[in-house]
Amino acid sequence: MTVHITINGKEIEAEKGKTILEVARENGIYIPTLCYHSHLHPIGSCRLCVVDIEGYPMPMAACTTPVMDGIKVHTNTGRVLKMRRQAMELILVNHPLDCPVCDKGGECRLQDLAYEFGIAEQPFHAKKPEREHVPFSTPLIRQWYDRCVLCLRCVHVCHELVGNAAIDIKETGYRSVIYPVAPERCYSCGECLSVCPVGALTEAVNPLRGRIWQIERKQTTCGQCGVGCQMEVSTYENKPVNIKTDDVTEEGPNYGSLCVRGRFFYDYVSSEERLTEPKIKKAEEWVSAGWDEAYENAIDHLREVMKAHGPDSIGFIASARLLNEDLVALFEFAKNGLNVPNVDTSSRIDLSAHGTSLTALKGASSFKDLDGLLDSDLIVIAGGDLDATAQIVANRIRVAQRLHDTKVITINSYKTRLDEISDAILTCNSGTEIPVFNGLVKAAFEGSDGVKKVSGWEDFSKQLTDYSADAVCDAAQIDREMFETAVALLKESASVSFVSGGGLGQTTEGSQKVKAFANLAVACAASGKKIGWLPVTAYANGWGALAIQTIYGGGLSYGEMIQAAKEGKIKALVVVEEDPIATLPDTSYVKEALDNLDFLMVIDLFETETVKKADLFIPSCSFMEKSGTFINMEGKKRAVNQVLDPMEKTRAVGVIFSDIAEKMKLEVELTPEVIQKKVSEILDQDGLKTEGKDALAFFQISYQATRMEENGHLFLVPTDLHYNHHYGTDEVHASAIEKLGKDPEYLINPKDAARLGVEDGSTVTIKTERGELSISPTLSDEAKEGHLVVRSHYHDTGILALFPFEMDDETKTPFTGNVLVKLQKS
Amino acid sequence: MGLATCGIAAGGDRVYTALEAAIRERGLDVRLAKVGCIGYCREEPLVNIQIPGKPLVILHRVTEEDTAAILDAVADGDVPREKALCQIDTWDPLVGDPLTFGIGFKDIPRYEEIPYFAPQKKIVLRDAGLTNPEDIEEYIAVGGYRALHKALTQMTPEAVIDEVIASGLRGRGGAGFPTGMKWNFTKKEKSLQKYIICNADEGDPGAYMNRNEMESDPHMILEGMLIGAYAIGAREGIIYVRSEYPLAIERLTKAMDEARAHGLLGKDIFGSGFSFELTLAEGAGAFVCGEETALIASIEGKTGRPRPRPPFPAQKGLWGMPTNINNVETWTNIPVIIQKGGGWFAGIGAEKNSGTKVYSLVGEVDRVGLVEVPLGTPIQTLVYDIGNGGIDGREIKAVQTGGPSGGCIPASLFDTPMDYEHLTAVGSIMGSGGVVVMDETTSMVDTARFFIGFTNEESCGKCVPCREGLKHMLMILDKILSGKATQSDLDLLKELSGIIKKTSLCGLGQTAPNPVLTTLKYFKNEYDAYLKGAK
Repeated sequence: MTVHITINGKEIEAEKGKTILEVARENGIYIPTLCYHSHLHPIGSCRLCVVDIEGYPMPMAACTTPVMDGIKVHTNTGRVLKMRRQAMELILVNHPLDCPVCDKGGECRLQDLAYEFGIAEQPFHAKKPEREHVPFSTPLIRQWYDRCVLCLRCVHVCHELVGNAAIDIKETGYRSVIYPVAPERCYSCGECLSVCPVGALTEAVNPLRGRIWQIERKQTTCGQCGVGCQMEVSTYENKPVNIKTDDVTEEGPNYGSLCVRGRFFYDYVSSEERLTEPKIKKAEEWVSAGWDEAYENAIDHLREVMKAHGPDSIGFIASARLLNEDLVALFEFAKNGLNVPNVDTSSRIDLSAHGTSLTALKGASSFKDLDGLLDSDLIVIAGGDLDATAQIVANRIRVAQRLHDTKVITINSYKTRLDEISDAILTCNSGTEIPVFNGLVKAAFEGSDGVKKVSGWEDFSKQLTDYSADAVCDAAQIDREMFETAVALLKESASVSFVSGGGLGQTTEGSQKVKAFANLAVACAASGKKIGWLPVTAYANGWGALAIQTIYGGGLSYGEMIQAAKEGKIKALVVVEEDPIATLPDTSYVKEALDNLDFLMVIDLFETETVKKADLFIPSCSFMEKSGTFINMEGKKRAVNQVLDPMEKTRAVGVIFSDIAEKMKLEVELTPEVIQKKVSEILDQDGLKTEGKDALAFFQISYQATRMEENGHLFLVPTDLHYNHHYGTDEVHASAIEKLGKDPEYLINPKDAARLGVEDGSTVTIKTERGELSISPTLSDEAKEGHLVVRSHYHDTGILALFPFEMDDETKTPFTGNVLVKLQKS
Repeated sequence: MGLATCGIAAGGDRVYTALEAAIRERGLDVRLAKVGCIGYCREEPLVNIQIPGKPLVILHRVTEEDTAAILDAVADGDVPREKALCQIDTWDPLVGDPLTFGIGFKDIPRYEEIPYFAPQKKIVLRDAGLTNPEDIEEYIAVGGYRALHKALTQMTPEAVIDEVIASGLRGRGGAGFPTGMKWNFTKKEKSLQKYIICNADEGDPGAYMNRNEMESDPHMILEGMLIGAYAIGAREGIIYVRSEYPLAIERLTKAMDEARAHGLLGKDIFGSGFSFELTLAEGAGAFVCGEETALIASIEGKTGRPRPRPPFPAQKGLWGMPTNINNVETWTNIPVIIQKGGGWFAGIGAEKNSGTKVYSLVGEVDRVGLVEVPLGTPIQTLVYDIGNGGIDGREIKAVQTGGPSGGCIPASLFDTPMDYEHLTAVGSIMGSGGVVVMDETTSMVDTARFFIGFTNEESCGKCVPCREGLKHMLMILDKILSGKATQSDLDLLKELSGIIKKTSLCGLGQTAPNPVLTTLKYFKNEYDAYLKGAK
């Protein structure tokens, strides 16, 4: 539907439903704004965008007035120009002239507008209201009351996009003030900071500052998780001073949004704790070494082990946050240079289960980009607290709901923030996700013709006989009405997105859980629905690493190498920017395995637990110090641009392996050109290779019901453990973390607490067969009855030590099991 | 016993207790009941005496000391003549059969003869002060819920809306938008869930029309909402009452309980298949929460602040669902429209302004109280005929209509008919029906300062012109009152008024400067007298 309007006499065909401001901007007609933000519902507070419409006695705010057929808009009548000027004068009354010391100086919207309007003096006198100063909702941001122009962007972004409502206006009239009304809900994501048009909110993380004319700013892809956010790093004297998104607000996947990590943790790359010299351990002591010496040490040891035990006794474990270019160099070096079969990456933990699921969905009409969320009628989220692990995805889901009335189903074994906007909250018992998925397929699709034509249905449908709604709701302890709502939503929605967090693939029966979830997607696709399949990836280059390791193939997996080391079959291990001790279950097992090695070489940025056990350490550099590509969670190629020179002597992983290959005179060529060519053979121009369409197929699921409640025992539910290793190695050195604090939270349902005699905040011991830990649980309804929920973003909680070392039969993913803990009062 | 908040404030509760004790003591066969307020607040406490076969007699200015005399007379089948205000022999409750009380007491003036009542026409307040608001049976006895029955059993929802459109009823909250059309907007929206809301967040200083409507006849609101819900297709309703109205909340709650017990709320009402549930939400006293979008935010538990429209509440209102909001008085007009027909209603009032309007006539006027007159009644009828002019014969200077953001209308314009268009034409607004009378002793600059002080306090702070502009208007008014202002301050004051009026986000700001603009227009000399060097 279009309408015809004129703006300043220019005839314009405009889309119905758009506002005058949007249409004007599309047509290059300038209307000044202050509170308007393209990603937020029009706020209408500043009144700078008033325009005249012929025949209307009052001027209208262009940001909130939709276009109507035939209207004649004038943006520059004498009346509106005067009104804008007066509105600006009123805004400026109480605004201090501290521009010289304000962080925002030079890129301040108010400064620009005052300059544009030429306001040098004004007729009003300031009257400063008395205000109580309180800390802002996060210690990472400082609030400057007097600079605030109450545009309310920060409040709106916190409500609409982040869904936290941590800040709001307090008081009324001219005493109004932005106030942290619910600081406990704040994620410190800094979206408020990012939309503030003035310097009323400033970053309080980094003492390093730089004005716009002093710094360099360059776009790159965030390397801290798999979302692949586009951001701009400001640098000054080879150090990052802040992260902005002002010029990338219209670029996906994040459209200018960032999470706390992306926005505030950047200074770990310039941390003084970075290790910048190669080191060799001599008689249990580290000794600094030159690069040549370090390389020679590596070469000698690898050759020695190779000679004594053969290439099968050597293993390489690399992080899936390395660039595709780093990984190809590593795989070329190890597989084709040394003929070592055992090379694997941490995408094994992150994504293996999802890798296989993709095959079944190839025949579907589907999308895997985050933009697809906005076209979905329904979004099904399982196995993850997206706000904790991939807040940008959660933000996109909230936008979908706000703009397109998208419905949401959440399936988790604890309460998540997205439950607040969920239409069907299926909080199931730990380990009962498979019955829930199966039950939903049975209830929503069993009678439909579509599924019958899909291969595998006949066998799968036999499995479904045990999953009646009654049986499922009983086994999973979910609300029957919620279950029925979910079934109705699945039936009626024409496009459905499936978002899975690490809680599926990285836990007991992970591969089966993912397949059962995929079956639900297959059933939707078979019923003619458009589907989206979006596994959240913890590592920046999860899909790239998975594609590369699949192409090179063979050998032992990450977990099998650790197992083989424990059994004495692997003698030498090269670990690259990975920290198995902080990542894998059963900490003591992993430590013993590493102790068993003849030679452990670790390449990393910081001294991790694994580095401490190394015989040789080589310093590498961060994603900000090198160029290349990531494949993000959407399967899209994202450019990583070097914004800093590598710190001191550190080198990129790709460079390190090409150096060593050259020194060893191996038969492989690892020049940037060759690497580039190899990468382009493995990956498409845009991202993951999309192969031909296969037919849809249902998976057969194997499922063993786990033991349910035992007296005095609770299921241990780590909520976002799959991120821990990541924070643990790099970001834990960010100065923001010192301010945020890093104590883990243990949540216990008040009913369990009463039953077990646990008081809020008292100290108890939790015990498994593998170990024990002293904790102080908080009583909270967010924990489902029978579950002990652990919230932590950091690796050093010690809970990994409580899980046995187990691997998934199909994917060989070491998982955090469905473990029962015994709780004892200390 | 007239026991709305006004009656209680005048000591009616003490009279009630005294009467109760005395009746018990004397063992009289007298039924003592509470009624609402008939609107003549100056004369309170009011006691209605109804002796079988005799006219209903309203006693005024009754005190505890009068109880013996009253009961002595009643025991003899009589009333104390010196306390009698007027008598009512028959009464037409409009939606039910006319009530005949009886004849007698020739020396007591008839209701119609009392100057305060004579020009009035009671539609909304037809039961107020005559029936017990805490007894659903009394409401039913005067024809209550017949309109609902008619709508549910004999009319389609479309026919109901057509009737409301035909009546020409306009929203009584202030803006005067045609009610039937507004209902159609929400009806047209496709949604599984729709809401209707009764806006009972009456916040204008000196205005208490809605309070009395709720306290005196809560069922009429319920019935109006039920009919509206049926027409619109809503299954849930909310009455949003300010928490400063505890008695209204109490009586509404009781009315809802009784209606539920009678099957008039809940499932399958009158066997029609129509179901409706009603809840009550309490506001926390913010003036701006009377604005629809702010009100919705408040019900949702958010800070009450207006948001830009579109989307209108009819599209995305409460919890994102289509929502229709009407003022208390709008809802109370519905049953009579359905029962008597839109045409009947349209015959009352003025052109494009059908029906009556309830005003709270307060300030420096002799007879204060709640007044209901046909729309289009001239101001002078209110001020002089009903209100009897100034106290102690003082001369009236102006009236301020429409609440704090209305305008001050000078006595020279008192022939202005009180309807939506004419009041706007003279620079004021209808608003919810507050009429504050000012006499010769009032400083109009001070009056303007009072109202700007009020709106400045109640501005939510969201949009720049209202938040910053009102504060500066107040600063200038203070400067004027202190005798330090110059002509340029007056110019700035006027200019600011224009900006705030034209560019504010919601109705509060768009009307807030009215008291200043009208006083500047009609009482410029008073401003000039304050200017520097004028004295």
